Amino acid sequence: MKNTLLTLIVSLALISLQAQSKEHKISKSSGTLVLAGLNDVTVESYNGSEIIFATDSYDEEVDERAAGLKLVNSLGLNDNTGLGLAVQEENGNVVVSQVSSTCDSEFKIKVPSGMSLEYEHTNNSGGDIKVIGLSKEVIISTTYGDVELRDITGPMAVKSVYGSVEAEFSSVSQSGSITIESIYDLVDITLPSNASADISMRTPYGEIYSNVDIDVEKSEGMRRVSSKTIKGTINGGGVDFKVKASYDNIYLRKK
Amino acid sequence: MDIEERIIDYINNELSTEERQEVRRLIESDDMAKSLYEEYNDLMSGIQEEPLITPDQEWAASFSESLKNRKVEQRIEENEPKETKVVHLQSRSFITKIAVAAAILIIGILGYSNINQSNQIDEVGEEVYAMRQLLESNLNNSSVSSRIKAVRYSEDVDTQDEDFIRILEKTMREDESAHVRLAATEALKKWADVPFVQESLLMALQNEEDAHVKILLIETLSSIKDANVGPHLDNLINDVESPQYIKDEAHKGIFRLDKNAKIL
Repeated sequence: MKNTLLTLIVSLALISLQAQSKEHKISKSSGTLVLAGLNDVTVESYNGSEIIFATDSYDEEVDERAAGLKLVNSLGLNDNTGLGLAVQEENGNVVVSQVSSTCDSEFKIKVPSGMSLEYEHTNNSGGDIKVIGLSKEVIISTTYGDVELRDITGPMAVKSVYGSVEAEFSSVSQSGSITIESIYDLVDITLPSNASADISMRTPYGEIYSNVDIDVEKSEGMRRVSSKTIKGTINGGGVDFKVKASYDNIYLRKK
Repeated sequence: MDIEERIIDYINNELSTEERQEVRRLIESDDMAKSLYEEYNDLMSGIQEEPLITPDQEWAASFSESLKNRKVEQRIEENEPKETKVVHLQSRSFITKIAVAAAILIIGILGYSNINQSNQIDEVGEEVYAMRQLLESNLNNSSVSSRIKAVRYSEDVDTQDEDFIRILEKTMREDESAHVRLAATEALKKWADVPFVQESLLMALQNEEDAHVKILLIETLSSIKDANVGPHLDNLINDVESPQYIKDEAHKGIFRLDKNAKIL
């Protein structure tokens, strides 16, 4: 009886482990990872030479009518990963698209530290993205999804129509430029205390809150107090850093 | 002398041995100084490398032809009232001034040494030309954030030079990245009342598919006082395929236009 129970527990654990370890790997350590239309995804940088795709919740729905057929997405692509993703290499970059537009899986992708990231999501299903630890260029565009960036450096261009953008910088890269925008939701940015930047913040219909020392640009010796645009330098100036939240607030904090 | 100037002099090898050692120690010990050094060094060596390594013959011939034309134009214009091309670099970005200075230097070397032409270009013309070259060369960069950075340089430039504005206008229409088109639209705001810019903004309003760029186009066009804009905004409102947020922004645009009309 004891042995039977033990066997049952081990079997359940193995099944559970198998469910969690659905992975697909491709060998790649440079170029750009392009994610087109993935509903919910976390991308994390690591020291390795493979892109590792994983999900713990993808179960292809069984449609008896579709027996013998393959699911095809709008680009004519099939699932070639077993995770509901179509992965292709194009011009030295890796392009990933979601095969089922109604799939609500959460994807976790580990990328080698030498890779850049591009993410675009335009439909109204999901679209949240979390990015952790990337130090190469990050380009994100969402319509409805929220964007969360942790331990990042830039350069980057991030924009969302309805989603919020939260960005916590570990340091601020001086190459390229940094642009973070949301039209209808907030933008919340945390900078290390030694970050240097030429900063511009604009919110026509929101407020700007900050505890960062900004040397505000003066017009003929006077500060403009009526404008909802603040331009100035942080720690003597540096990279071009633009923040905009058209109808909501901007929060700029220092660590 | 502030730290930026000392770093630039350091890169240009214009400091004494003692001063060089001092700046080198600063770069090694101070993160901000290191960042400044890396940025100025990349920028200045990038500008210097591109045209000097392989001066393209076709380009050189074209530049030579342009100089000849310029001389002819100058002779013709000597007895005519001159249309002034004004370029002011605003104070915000010191690095823009450095970039322009470096570009002028390179163009000077190409123009006067490699192509062996006499010095006939006035200072203002040089500055406009340098800015154009700087903008165009950086807009060829494959990195989106670098192209945005190049477009932002133009925000520090106050000129009515048509060729310069047309580079931005083309970027607004044609760049493959919506982020860069957005930055170019923002940069074009200050020239929005120039007829060809306005026409192009209206055209982009019809063709642009990115929501962010489209909303900025509505905002930009509705801030200028022109009767042509209203019907375009009406079209967006009546278009069954327009998302609701685009219709909402178009309504706000019409409200802004009405407000402008009342002020007039």
